[in-house]
Amino acid sequence: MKLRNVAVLALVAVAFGACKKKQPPVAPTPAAPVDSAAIRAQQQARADSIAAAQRAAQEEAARQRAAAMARVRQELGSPVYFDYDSEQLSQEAQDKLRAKAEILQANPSLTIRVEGNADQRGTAEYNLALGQRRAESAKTFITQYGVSGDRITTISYGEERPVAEGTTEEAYSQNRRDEFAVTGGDITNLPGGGM
Amino acid sequence: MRFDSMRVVRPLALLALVLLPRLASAQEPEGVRLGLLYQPEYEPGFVVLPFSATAGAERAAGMVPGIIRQDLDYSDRVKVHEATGAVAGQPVNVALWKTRGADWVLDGALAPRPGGLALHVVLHDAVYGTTKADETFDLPPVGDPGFRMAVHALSDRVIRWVTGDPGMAATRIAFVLQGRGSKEIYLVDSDGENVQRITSDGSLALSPAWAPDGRHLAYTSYRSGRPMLYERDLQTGRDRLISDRQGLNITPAYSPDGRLIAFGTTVAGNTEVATYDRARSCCLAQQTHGRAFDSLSPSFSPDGSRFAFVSNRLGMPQIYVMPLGGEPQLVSEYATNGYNTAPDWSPRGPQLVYSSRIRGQHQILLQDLDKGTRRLLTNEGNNEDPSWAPDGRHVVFSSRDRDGGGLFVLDSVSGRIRPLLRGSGYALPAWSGVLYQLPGK
Repeated sequence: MKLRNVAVLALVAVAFGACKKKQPPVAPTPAAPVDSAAIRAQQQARADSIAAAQRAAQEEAARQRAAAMARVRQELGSPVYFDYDSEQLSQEAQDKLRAKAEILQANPSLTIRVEGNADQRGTAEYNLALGQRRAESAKTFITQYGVSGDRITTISYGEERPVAEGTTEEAYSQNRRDEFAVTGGDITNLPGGGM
Repeated sequence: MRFDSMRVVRPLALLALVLLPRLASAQEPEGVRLGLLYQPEYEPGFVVLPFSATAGAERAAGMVPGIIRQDLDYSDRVKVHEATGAVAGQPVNVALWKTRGADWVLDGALAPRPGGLALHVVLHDAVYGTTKADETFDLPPVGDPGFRMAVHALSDRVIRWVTGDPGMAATRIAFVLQGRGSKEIYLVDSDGENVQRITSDGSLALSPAWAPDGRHLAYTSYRSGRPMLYERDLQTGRDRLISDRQGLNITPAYSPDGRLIAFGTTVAGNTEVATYDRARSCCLAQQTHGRAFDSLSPSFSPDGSRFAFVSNRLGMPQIYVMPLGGEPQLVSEYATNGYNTAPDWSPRGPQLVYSSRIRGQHQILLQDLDKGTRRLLTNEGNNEDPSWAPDGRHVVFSSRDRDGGGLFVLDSVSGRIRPLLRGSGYALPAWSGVLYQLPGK
């Protein structure tokens, strides 16, 4: 019995020893701080990626907005063309001016100058009057859309500022135009209420 | 010689005289019949002898006869002959010059005097063998800015002796020249010498107009960013603002008494002719009431009671005349597609010159308001912005395509055209009144 008991004990001891041997060494206590740093890093990464996504989204929005603004700015600056010795507004000219009126309505601080021009076929002094008439024609049209006339100045350059040289109808038609320049304020709002 | 080669123009004008009325009537729209009609007058022969000089006046003696000879040629009143073989200081053989075609012989002698030169001239009437004039004038020294102008004034005096009419040698022409990205106003003497820049705005300077005093120029400049009307004092170089109204302030013209400046300005979206009281520096008065139409480019009658101007109240621009405070009257021939602009009223009578579009090109037209006649003065290229000389006979105009472009002087009697300044970018010439007169009659 005693022997058996001893044997059992030994077995137990062996088994215990073996068990003890297999057991991993107990890690030193600093294990906890290592874990929280990783979590923080993960959290930070998550936050960073959210911020980056947000930033990207914002940048994309800003890009789109800038593109929209550029389109609006271009729309505002886009010249309007006329027939020979005429200040009549064609359908195309009216569409362009309506778009400009909407931009001005959406941006109440914005002021513009309409610059009337003529081709070289008329005489210099009469063309100054013709250019003025073209500028006034655009101004009158825009003010019909509720934009105050105080926000639109006019100037005529007559035939003195051609954009196209030469004596072809092609060149002439490019020179018979109103140009539009921003004189004050800025475009901050898109027409139709968009920010 | 330069002035002889210019004569080549004359047979061409005569040829045009024969050919043009037919061409015109064949191609003009109904109701428009214009002929290029010149009736050349007899031009008496004229010889300017070499002038003698005492010590110190030789340089002037080398220059003065040449200036006078050219002025007389440009006057188109006489036919200048060469003084071939003549020697300065020799007794004048008037009978000999008469056999060589001279009706008039001018002889002269120059001597220094304190502060300048004394010029003694004798004008011989070769036809009657008499002395027409024998006078001595003071001239500034050679090199003085006034030297050439004083000699031009002598040329004008000679023209008056010979014809009884005023000359136009002692004058200048203001004009606009296109530079790199700007247009500036310049002056040039009537003989094409002494080009002088007046503005340096680096902007657009346009439509110079002479005050009757010959000292002031009204003009439009964009130097403030928009077209405003200024008046330059040519003696001091100073400007004063005449009008800075919103819109246009363009096409100025002085009344003959110098009291008013009429110009085109924007009123309720239209261009209207208004007058500015220059003497009182105030009192803008609207003259035209075109309402939906434009009125601009005024030019006063010699008595100052009326003015011609351009209006598009019938659709295309036409010439009207109206009394100050009165009603406008159409004077150019109305045609559906007519385009008549830039009128200038002769300082000597009821004649207008203006630019008229004929077969797609701008030509110079002379209209007699009393007789109701219209006469084409040019028939090739584009010819714009005519302005009368004070003799009421010569007209300066600009052309962008005649002989490479430039400013040209046209004699409305003979049809002769001479270039004043050649090149591109010349526009809006305005002829001054007589700027310098010699003392005496």
